[in-house]
Amino acid sequence: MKLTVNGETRDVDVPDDVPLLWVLREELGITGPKFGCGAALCGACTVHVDGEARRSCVLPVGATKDKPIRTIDALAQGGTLHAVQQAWEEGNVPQCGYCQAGQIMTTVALLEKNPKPSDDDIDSVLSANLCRCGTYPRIRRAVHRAAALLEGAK
Amino acid sequence: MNRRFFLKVSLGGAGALLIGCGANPPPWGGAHMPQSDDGLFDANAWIRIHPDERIEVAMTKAEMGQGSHTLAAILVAEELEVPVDRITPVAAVGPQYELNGLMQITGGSTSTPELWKPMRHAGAAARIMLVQAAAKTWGVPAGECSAADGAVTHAKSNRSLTYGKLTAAAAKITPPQNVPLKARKDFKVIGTNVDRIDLREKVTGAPIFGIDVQVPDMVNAALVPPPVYGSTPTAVDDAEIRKMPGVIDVLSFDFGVAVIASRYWQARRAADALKITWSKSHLDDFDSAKMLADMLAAVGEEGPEAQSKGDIEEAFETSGAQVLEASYSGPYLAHATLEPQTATAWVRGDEVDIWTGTQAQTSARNTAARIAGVDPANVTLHNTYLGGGFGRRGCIDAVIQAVMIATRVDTPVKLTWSRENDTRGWYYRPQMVARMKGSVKDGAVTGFYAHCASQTPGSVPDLISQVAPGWLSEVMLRIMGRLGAQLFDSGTVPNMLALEGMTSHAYTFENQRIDFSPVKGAVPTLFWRSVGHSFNPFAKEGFMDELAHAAGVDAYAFRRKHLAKDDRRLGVLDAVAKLSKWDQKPAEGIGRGIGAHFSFGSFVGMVSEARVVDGDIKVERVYATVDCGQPINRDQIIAQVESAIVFALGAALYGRIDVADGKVVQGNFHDFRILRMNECPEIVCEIIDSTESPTGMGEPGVPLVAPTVANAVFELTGKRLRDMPLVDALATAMKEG
Ligand code: FES
Ligand code: FES
Repeated sequence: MKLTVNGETRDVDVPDDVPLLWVLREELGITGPKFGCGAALCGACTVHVDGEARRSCVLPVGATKDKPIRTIDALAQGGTLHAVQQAWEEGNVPQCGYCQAGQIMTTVALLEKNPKPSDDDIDSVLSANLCRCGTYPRIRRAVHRAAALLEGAK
Repeated sequence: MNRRFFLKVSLGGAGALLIGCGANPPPWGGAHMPQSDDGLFDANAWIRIHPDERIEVAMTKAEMGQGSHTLAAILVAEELEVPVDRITPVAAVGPQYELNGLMQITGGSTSTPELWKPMRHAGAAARIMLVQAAAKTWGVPAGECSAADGAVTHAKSNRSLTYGKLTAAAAKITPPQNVPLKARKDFKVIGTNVDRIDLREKVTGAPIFGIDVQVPDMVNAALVPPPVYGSTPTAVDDAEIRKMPGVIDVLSFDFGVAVIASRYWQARRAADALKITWSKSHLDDFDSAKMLADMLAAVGEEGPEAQSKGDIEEAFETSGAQVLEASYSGPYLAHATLEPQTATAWVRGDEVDIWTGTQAQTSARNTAARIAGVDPANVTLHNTYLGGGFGRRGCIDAVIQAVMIATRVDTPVKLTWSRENDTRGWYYRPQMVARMKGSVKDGAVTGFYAHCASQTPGSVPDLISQVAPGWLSEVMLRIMGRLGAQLFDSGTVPNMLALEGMTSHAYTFENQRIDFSPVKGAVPTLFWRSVGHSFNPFAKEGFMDELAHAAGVDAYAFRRKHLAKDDRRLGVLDAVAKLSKWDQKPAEGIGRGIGAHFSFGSFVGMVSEARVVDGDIKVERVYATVDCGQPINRDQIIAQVESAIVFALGAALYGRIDVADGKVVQGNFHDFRILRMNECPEIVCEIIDSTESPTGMGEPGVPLVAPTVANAVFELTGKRLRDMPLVDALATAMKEG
């Protein structure tokens, strides 16, 4: 089966129903997306499929054929961080860091659709991404900061 | 792969460079390694400087989010005179890093106090040697040279050399005997806001966690643990499973059945399809609700006395005293680190390698050595970043399992727990009850009594294996474990961990007695962020509020009466009252709770503001004031307060682990609920300036969250919530009307 991951075409030999998360992590060595729950309950495994934030732990790889897949591993371009990553660094958001790949990918998708989200918009999208270290107050600030950075870059 | 995982522990080792440190000689023997061909400068066991200006610092404390690596980097950088972000952390494990003289462990909010002096001494010693090396090179007195920004300068002759250029010369300098530390007024970094040094890896999804480890030829393991603790597999029907793609082996152990496959997803699928027959367990009929009822009955009587002062009976009987009584409870709780437990092990001949993120470095290493039958010196523990700890990774069950599996597999093997394995993986915060009784007269407390019952937080046999030396045999360990358990369970030894936060609370009462009934024979328990302080203050501060209410005194004023004038507790309490504008009426629909507590050497004052909306508790704002001595990195103190509040609030409102028929009911995040973004309050934190020695902040933010929220709900609804989780207690209270 052919997958398009981070702009590259990759060949994998797995059954259609294997979750995308494990195909990325184990077959392709792309370990940015993390395993937290395996049941679409925490968001640690979030990647973009066709521009949409998806929980890769429950998404059968067969459903992603011919669709561009984007992971945090390729979010920074040529050593330059994405505005969301930059805002995350500025705000010293991560603690253990385990949830952050998912938080960042969810935020990138959110800002692509809604460049100026309100606190309620942020809640309605990011409340599905768990952070056991409790970085929520900083995530909220960083989302607003990233929105401002993207706005300024236009 | 992060190179960190492959670095052998080479900072340190043989040799003898003992850095004299003035009045406080360090407990470790640093090592002056012979200068290698590439001109390294191994200043001591902690710091290595490369000719290309890289500075590596040995990280002896696990990084689990609490910022220990950044902290250590700051302390070294301050004295070494380099920017903090020039420092590369290198996880270091070994006997030479047992800072408390007993073992290498990360927990108990000890990283700050334990690193405070040694890391600065290490940095200062290296700087002195670099300055002397430069002076010697130039033929000038060392006193005329100064170090700043990673270079030594001789101002008179306008010459300067970077540290990287001085490594070869510095390696020949005799280590200093006397290493003075900077005076507080000279601090440039300590006490400011410093960026974490692990940000880049953590915003780019780098492979830094135990679960990300990849070792050549590695296979994967998935675990089916027994449904009831203590039961073991008696028969495994694996004929079909062995034919599944990728499956290599199906192995039975006392701890469950492990499926070994090329990939984790293959192992997991096969494991889920296994048919296993399990033996009976002594916990087959265990029911946590029944246990709670038994505990409540037990504390109804007087119990074995753990602490006593004055005469509470007399206080209760004094005429005019108002006497109150109420019982509080808290459930079992899982830690629910977002990264499930994982460990990779490779056992070959007399050598063992382990890749994992653990809080219990010494214990992991020694236990692996015992299992594999090798010398602990032949065990290399590659300690990765931890995807959350909170005490759970102080328990090394997954490491033990991985090593046991690895003894039966020819290649390295990575064990990854599923979320369900993790939620049902025992080692919980113990279920607790406390019957409180107190008296007030003339607006103040005259007698204070608590009868607490719980298991000790931490299974005693496990605790003993943590501290036992590596050479102790398995049999000896088991005997010691049993003896230790008897000692604790007998109730003759006051159970310090179970009672902390109750015996050692913030307030001074003339008459106080604490009884304790230890609970035996239940599921394994463990340290859970702030340990006994995570549940006892719920009863203590909740009951203080009841007493204040009965006395008709404002909750803040009432608490002030029981704190001495020079007490730092009074400082944080007054500060939080001011910060939260306690003297002004709260907004419509807002209830407030206040408290002060002392734990792990740090003082915290807290005010929570909450609403009740459609039977749900919505905490809008939490104010926290903290006095943790000399602040080192202000931003990360605040980060830890935020973290502790969010962690504790999820537990207070929603968290519970129930056990029915020996089986854990909850399994994943849908039924083991933790706090979400939309439930997160605004957090306002103020650090009290202090010149006392610094103390840790990983845990002290936890204790006051549950009681201040419960007290806020009382103010709003008149309902006393005395059982966690609070949303369940509120629902029950509403039904009862
Ligand atoms: S691992 Fe996919 S949502 Fe949790
Ligand atoms: S930073 Fe640890 S889970 Fe979010």
